[in-house]
Amino acid sequence: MPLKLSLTMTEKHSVTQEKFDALLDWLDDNREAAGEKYEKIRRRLILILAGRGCFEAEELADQTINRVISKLPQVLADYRGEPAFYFHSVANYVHQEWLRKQDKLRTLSMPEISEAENTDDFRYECLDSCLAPLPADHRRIIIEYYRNEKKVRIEYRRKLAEELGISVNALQVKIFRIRKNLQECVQKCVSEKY
Amino acid sequence: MDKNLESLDTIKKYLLGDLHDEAELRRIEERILLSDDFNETLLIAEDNLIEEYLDDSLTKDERERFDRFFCASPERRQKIQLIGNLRKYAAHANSQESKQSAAEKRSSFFHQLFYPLNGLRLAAFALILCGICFAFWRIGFYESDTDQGLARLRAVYSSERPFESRLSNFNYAPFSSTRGNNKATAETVARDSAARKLLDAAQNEPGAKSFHALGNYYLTEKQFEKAFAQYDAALKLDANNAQLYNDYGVALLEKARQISTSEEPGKRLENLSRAYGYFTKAVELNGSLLEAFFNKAVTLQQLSQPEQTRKAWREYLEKDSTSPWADEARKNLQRLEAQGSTAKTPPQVLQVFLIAYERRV
Repeated sequence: MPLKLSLTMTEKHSVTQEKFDALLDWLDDNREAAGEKYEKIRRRLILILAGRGCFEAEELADQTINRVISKLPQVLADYRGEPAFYFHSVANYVHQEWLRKQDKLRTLSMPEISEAENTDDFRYECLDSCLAPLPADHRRIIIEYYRNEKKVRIEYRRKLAEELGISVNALQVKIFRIRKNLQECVQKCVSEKY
Repeated sequence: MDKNLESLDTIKKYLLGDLHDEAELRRIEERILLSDDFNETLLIAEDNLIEEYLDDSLTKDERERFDRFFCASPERRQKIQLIGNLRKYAAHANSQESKQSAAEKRSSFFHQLFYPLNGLRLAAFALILCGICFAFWRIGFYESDTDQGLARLRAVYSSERPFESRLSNFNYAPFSSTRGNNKATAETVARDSAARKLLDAAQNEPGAKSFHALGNYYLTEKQFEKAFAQYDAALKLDANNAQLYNDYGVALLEKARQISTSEEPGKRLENLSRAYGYFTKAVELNGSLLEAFFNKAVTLQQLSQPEQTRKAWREYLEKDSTSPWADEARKNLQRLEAQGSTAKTPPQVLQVFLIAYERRV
């Protein structure tokens, strides 16, 4: 499946498909495996940057990738090692520049929540419509997982995991995957309504 | 201290921006980059932290860090909102179930009411027994307007069917091409009675079944556009009904017959191809629907494609070799074999048919 460059990268930073393909070739000889590695690196950069308190983690991750792509000829000549580490070191620079720009060092002010985010009614309605098309077992599991008050919840989840024949950790991973799809659906629904 | 707990505590501090040891931060970030398992652990830890926040279980300092640091990311804020809404949703589902369970308890209360029996309880028991009998009658013997209307319509055509093709669930009756307009008065009365029932049914019990039945009535009257309208309405409500597709196909086929080959060959061909498409869809939905197999052969026969038609009749006879329909199929096959294999429809017309068929239903 062909990977699409993000809008940030193509529109703002003139990353061509050719350069992007060169990046993929560096990550792996097999194009499909390279694509998976790319996605993993991008997701993890976002996680790391969010873990540093960045509220523009996705944009900074894309900037990082763009910078790596622009330096790729040099990298291929000089760098020997795990590509993910190279991305990480570039992300450090990008993050530092961002911090200087934001005039913050470990003391972060809360970014303003956009109007589009402040839409709890829409979100609840959208959740309702996004739950409906889920497979019945997924719908049941996720509702069961989140029911009950705090004290009873842990025991309830343990029983749910037992019923499904999996560990509690595996149940949490299953919930995470179902929720990921729900989140995308709710986001799409909210942006359509708002 | 348990190493496991320590690392969970470290992860929590990391998520709250409370980890200041640069070396430890670097280690965590490297594990994020390289370890699938650690990523999973981190995402689970995020979830747990969000739940602690929503449970109001965080300390004051943790809560402040959560608001300032953890919530800086829009993605995390969306996650918090989603989990909060899922809890709300689950709580609502929980309360609906509690109401249902309370209703069930009330109904078991009635069980206690009738045991042991006394005068009042006996009367209540008799009332319930009447209710059961009514339900039994309703399920076993009651006929809706739709069922009554269809029964009357079938009765009208029990001795001679209105067209060569087969409507679903109509018993066998021979077809005569000379049926014409010589209708007995009694038959007219019966047909009007069926019409009234089916029109009432479509009004009082609107649904796929009643629309389908009314469509069949209009079809037998050769009011094709009215039939199509009813079938379309039924299909909107029941898109996977094989019999409905079959009957729709019959309407298209019979409409095609009425179109003169010399005057509107394209129109005739279009209706035939659509009919074929509907019969094919019917068979896809129900591989045992004999009516649709029969009708496919009749359609091909209309195109005067002897080879294809012979194949279709043989296919029918493999599925049904004993009924009166099978006798008809055999006669059609014998007639074809006597005629020989000369196609009467030019190959390019068949080509157009096949292309139109590809763009069918």
